[in-house]
Amino acid sequence: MNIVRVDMNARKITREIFEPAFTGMGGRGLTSFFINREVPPGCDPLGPDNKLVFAPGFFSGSTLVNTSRFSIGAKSPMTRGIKESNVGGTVAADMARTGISAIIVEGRPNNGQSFILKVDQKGDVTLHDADQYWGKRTYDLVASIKEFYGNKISITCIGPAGEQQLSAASIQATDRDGRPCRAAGRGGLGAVMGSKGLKALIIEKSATNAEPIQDLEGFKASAKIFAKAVMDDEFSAEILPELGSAVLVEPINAAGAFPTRNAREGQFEDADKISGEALAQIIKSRGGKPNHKGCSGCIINCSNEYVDEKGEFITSSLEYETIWSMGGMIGNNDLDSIARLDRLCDDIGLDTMSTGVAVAVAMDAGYKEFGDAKAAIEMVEDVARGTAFGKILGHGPEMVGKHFNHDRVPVVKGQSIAAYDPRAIQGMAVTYSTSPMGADHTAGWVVDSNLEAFGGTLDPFSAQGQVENSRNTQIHMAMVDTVGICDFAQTGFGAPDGLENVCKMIAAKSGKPFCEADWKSTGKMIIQTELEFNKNAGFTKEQDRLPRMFYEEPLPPHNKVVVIQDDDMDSTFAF
Amino acid sequence: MLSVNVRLFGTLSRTFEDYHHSCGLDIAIASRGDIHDLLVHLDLIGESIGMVFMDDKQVNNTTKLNDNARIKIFQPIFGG
Ligand code: SF4
Repeated sequence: MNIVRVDMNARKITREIFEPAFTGMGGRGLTSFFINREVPPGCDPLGPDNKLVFAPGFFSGSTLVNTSRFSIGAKSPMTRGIKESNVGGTVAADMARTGISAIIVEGRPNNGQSFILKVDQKGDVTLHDADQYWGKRTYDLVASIKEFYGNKISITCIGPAGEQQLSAASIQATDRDGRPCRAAGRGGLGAVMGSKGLKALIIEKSATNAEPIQDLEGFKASAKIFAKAVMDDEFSAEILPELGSAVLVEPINAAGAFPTRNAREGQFEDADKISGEALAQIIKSRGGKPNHKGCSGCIINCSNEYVDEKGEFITSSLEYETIWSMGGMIGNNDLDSIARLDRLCDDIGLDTMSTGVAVAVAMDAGYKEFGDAKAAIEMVEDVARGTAFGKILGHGPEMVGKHFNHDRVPVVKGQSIAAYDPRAIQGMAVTYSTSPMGADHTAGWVVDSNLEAFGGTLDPFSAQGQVENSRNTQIHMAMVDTVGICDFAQTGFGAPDGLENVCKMIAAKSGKPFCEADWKSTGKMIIQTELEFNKNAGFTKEQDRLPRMFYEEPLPPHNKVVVIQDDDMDSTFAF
Repeated sequence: MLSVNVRLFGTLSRTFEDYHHSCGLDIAIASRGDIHDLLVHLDLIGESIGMVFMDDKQVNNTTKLNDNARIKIFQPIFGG
């Protein structure tokens, strides 16, 4: 296994041997470690001193199901702290099979040139001129790249938003059907890629240099147990394949936690029009695919293909967070326009969550009416056109708030919240506030433990137990993001001795003992590494706060505010 | 008898052939029945049930049904 270093200024590619200290590491563990060690915390995120690190999960490319998460790390232009954002599709498995554990992209071409970085089947890495591709939207880009490089590749790329170095720019990755519809959306990492003049990373498929698994039989036995648990769980085996993550719309709305019209309300009166049930029904009636395999090695198939009335493909996959950000959050009850906005964001290379929330803030400030989907589409098109307003929107909700002098901006560390209002699920207040990544739902999803009906034991309106629960979940998720297991396949941890079983696989692959205590201590170390970077970048406790609207405006229908005290918040990671 | 309208979420509706999500199911059930009786009536006792709402308020198995109530039944969720 090795690390590849790409100097974009000197156009030089070097290889380093994987340091023994990194044994058992992949994904977020690696990206965060490298960023903290090598990036000056005070640097300009879009300057030559920042680095962009690509790393497949530790299990990616192995026979373990649902391990196709690809971590991308850098100093974020959105949060100005450390960032890891991960994406599915095929790239993680394909890169892991080349035997490369991480690619570190550093420097910046000083003549404004653009490049494609290619990893071939043998693991050889080359830089290619990409000036002819610069300016293209991602769907067109992918078609052009495939024309030249062939179809047997995974493509990870940016669109016009990344080229313009906008803070809400995503990095898009191709799915199993070769479409650039999977997104490492959060934190504006597309802007960092754009600042390095890197239009795309191409990985050839079918390499056979994956790191050997030290105890193959032991690994296979544990992988089988994990897969069985995923398939034995009703949610991952039946509900997700039928309705996708959009199944969350109605229950979260019923719980009063679905931020609506820029989080002025917790319930959207038209939730049934944009629900998972409505989505599946529309897709089926038009001959689309309500169930689709988006990522390598997936046995859940939560993805879908949304088609228009003529049965023409619009987007894949229409997911809960986007249905929220482009639906309830902007007061839009029309799934067709939500699907178009999703496609537009994928094509321009924009985070659907930050963009939807930016639109919501603009609407809340009176720029357009809530529910005006046509205006929302125009606003997002402005980003691709590079208009003055498009640049404001493309920098995300905080910039939109500043532009309109509007203070109802639901962000933490500059990054928007996700589709769970922290006033109705207090545990999410802790995760949004304290995650080193900014308001990030995947960093510590504690919705189920806050809702009794879903097995939760915490009162969603009380502070009791929330800090400890979020802390433990965030530590656990740092490891899930490191090994590269899809969030939805966490039902695999439900096997008897599920965590021990996953630890056995780490040990079997690395050849070094790894137990549950190591899982926790390594997760904690990853978070400590990230916090250290942020502290050195100038972060204080003041950054671990939600905006005032969440403390001062009671959220209907429960009319609650965030009740977690600052001292409690600050004890989350007082390691 | 009481009449209630029931909407089933997730995959709970799969055993109800004529189920249309926009209409739900109109159910007649003995007076003084509770949510548990309704789940028995719908043969949903073996299913994993998450939240149940009656007229937009979260309720539990022992909550008495109201006449003309709108009931929503959800499965457990997981996410991230
Ligand atoms: S469950 Fe969905 S996100 Fe996860 S691996 Fe499968 S298709 Fe990808």
